[in-house]
Amino acid sequence: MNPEEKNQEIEQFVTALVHELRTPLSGARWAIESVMPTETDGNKDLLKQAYNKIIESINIVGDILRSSDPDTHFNFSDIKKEKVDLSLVVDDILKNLDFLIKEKGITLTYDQKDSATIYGNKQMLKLALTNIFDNAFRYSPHGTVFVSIVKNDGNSLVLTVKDSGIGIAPEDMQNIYKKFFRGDNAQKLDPGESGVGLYTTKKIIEEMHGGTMKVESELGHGTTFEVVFLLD
Amino acid sequence: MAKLDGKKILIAEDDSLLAQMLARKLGEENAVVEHAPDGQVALDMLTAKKYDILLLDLMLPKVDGFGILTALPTIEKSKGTPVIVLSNLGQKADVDKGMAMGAKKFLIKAILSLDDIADAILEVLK
Repeated sequence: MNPEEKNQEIEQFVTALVHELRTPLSGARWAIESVMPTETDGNKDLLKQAYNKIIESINIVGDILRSSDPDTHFNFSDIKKEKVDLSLVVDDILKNLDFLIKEKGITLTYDQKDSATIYGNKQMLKLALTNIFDNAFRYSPHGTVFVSIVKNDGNSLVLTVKDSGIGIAPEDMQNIYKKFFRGDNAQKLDPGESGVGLYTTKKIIEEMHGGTMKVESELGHGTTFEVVFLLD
Repeated sequence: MAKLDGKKILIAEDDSLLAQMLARKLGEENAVVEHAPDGQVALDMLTAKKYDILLLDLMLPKVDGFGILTALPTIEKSKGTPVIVLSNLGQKADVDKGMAMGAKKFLIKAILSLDDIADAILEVLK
């Protein structure tokens, strides 16, 4: 089998696998949505937690699918763009990840929140930035996460997410955007993640939105992601 | 008045849990829902009766969703019935093919809530 055929075979396998995983996840998701409104408060809280786990799994499955052939799934020219207020996207993400912030006992600081619009696709931005926030919370148990959105010199917008978590080993820094890569320390702390998140994030931020990503990290002390977008 | 008052909806879906949940949600919106568990049954039902909209899974036993999209224009009662593809496939090739064959929307089940789906139906029926 030549490399091209091999790639095709892997892609077909991933597509079939994703379909098989999404079907039961959809069923569980919709079943919870159906019964949630009539449940008592105690049960509602449990169902909400189960629901969030299902959504997390659906997102991971989506990441796997996109990573198998990002060019097919992210056809950049076909993606509809509009004016997007980045601070609203971040608000939405923080609301969705509230369960993780609580579960990990995170102290969140979000003081500067400049409101400004960039030109982009809201859903894709949400997907991309969720990965950064999810990592910050997941790998900083009982730590702090600092978030800011700052409008710089009139033409760029900088989102900073700085955590006090486990950090990235210097030898791992060059690999963090590779598909399925996970640092040993991240693997130990949370073995269930897929390792395709930042790969996807970089594609969306840089190739789809013309933004840039910068990361600084110190092992054992935390990681800072800086994402820069040009203003609309 | 609920959103889908009296609308006749056919769900072609082989997964019984998904079909039940869709039927329950759309029933709450006062739609009149019928269910086909495979592609052949769906074709028989589309031949016998006119529906306001067809919710169509792609990976169906006997006749798949693309087979139904191909046959639909030849069925007297159902030509022109709007179709929403509701699938867990989402590659660009599938989406392009489904839309080129006349689907009004191509939705990925896993990433949408039942409310989202009800809204999409309403939008197509507008």
